[in-house]
Amino acid sequence: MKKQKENQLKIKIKNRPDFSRRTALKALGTGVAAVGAVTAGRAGFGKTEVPAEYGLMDQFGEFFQQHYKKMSKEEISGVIERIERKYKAKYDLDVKVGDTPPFPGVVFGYALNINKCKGYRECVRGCVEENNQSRDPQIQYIRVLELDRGSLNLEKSEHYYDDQTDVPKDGKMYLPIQCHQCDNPPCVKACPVEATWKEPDGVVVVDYNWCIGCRMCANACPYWARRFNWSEPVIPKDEINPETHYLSNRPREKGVMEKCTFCIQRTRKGELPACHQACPTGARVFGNLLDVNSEIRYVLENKDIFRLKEELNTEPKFWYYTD
Amino acid sequence: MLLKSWRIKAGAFFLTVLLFGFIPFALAEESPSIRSDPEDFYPSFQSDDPRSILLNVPSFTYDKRSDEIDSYPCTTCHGDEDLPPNPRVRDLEEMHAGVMLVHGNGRFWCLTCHSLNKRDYLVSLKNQLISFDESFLLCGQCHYERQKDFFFGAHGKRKDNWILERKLAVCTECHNPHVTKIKSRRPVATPQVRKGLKPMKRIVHEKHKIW
Repeated sequence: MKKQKENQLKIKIKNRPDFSRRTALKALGTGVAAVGAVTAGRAGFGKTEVPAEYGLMDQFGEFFQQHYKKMSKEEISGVIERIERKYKAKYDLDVKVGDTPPFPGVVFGYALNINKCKGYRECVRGCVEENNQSRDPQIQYIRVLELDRGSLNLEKSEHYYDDQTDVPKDGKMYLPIQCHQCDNPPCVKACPVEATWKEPDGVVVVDYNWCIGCRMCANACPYWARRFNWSEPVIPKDEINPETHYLSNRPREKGVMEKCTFCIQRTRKGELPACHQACPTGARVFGNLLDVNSEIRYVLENKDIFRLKEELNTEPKFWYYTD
Repeated sequence: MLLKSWRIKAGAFFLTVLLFGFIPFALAEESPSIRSDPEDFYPSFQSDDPRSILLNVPSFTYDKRSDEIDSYPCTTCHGDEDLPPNPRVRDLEEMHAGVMLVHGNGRFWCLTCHSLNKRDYLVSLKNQLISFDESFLLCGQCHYERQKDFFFGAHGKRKDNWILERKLAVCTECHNPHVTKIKSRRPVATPQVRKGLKPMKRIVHEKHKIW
């Protein structure tokens, strides 16, 4: 019996057609590329609706767009113009897509006082409004976890705590988690197409036009910081924030990964991140890690601090502290 | 015999490692502390000029609190001759009937912090005048650890920017000085579970013991 089966297997292998999958895909690929390019804009990942004002040339341009880091300044400004045209057609709104470079000699760091955090979720609201996150289905970068006081077992934490009872509840503490902007980011290593990378100011960003939506980065992230657009993001027109950045909060498409960027559209102009501004308790401290006189350095040097999942060697630039 | 000598050798090697291997650890110096609080900062020290404490801390600006207080300046009423200063502890009437002084659990009276004669000012325990805008100088008399954190950025809220001059929210923007405990409130709406999924049941693993 066994031998018979082995023989059958051998025959099957012998009878396989004489070209590998790779060559077949290559032949197919060249043919499909041209057709795909035209239809890509129209049906990229399912059925993305693209209005007629966004012409054929724009769709070609979108399909053949280079990686952000490989483009020259002129190419990037051309791409940004095209993207703005697209938003104009899609949302009927003048969305300004910026491309502010990082400050030289600045590495951003964040500290959060877990004694002061009361679980109001105001940071989540501020973040969603600033970063053009989808309202339906909901995408939120910050998770506020409710834990038993004195414990730090994230498995027993409650993310979906009730909004009909007052917070802080007795015997509970709150731990907001967002992207920790690791200095040794596992998500960047996991990306097969280098669509995500660490900027000179320490912020991990995504090129939404280069992302293929394989979600490997989300698998690799130990802080659950990456969000995937499973369906076409829906944002009411009057809630769109028109001040955007190419690598940060410009409206995303279906099928791409997105994440917190410490609001580089704001922080690279010297403003504070939206979650910091929205926090009513003053639990958040943001600043330049390389500046010895900054507030963040004072906190790191003089307070009891810890980093989440420090043992994973991801070197997060997000600290929690107590006082 | 051969085996035995090999064992002895291995044992001797192991012992030497055990004995001398820890020497580097013993000789290693303790790493220096990274604490950076300035040594010349005495938070509870009350100098003759309350503002002199600001010389030792990083500079900052703040919004004028007096613009926010409805009935400021107080001298619009208290400057009149019909309202002479009355230091007696009593039940407050009319204008100030709504003021609940919970702070201090009954140990304080209005004049602990408000000046009796110069109504537009607060007053420190050493009888120094402090502006309504600079409440942090007053609160720091007792809450000096908080005050220090406030000056250096670990307590309180910074406004507007992270790069240029600091602009801080002063104590009374967040804390009601009369009733200091911040009330609990409703949080912003609970996030949805991802489309197509149901909220996960809380599993109490302790119930299902393996051993």
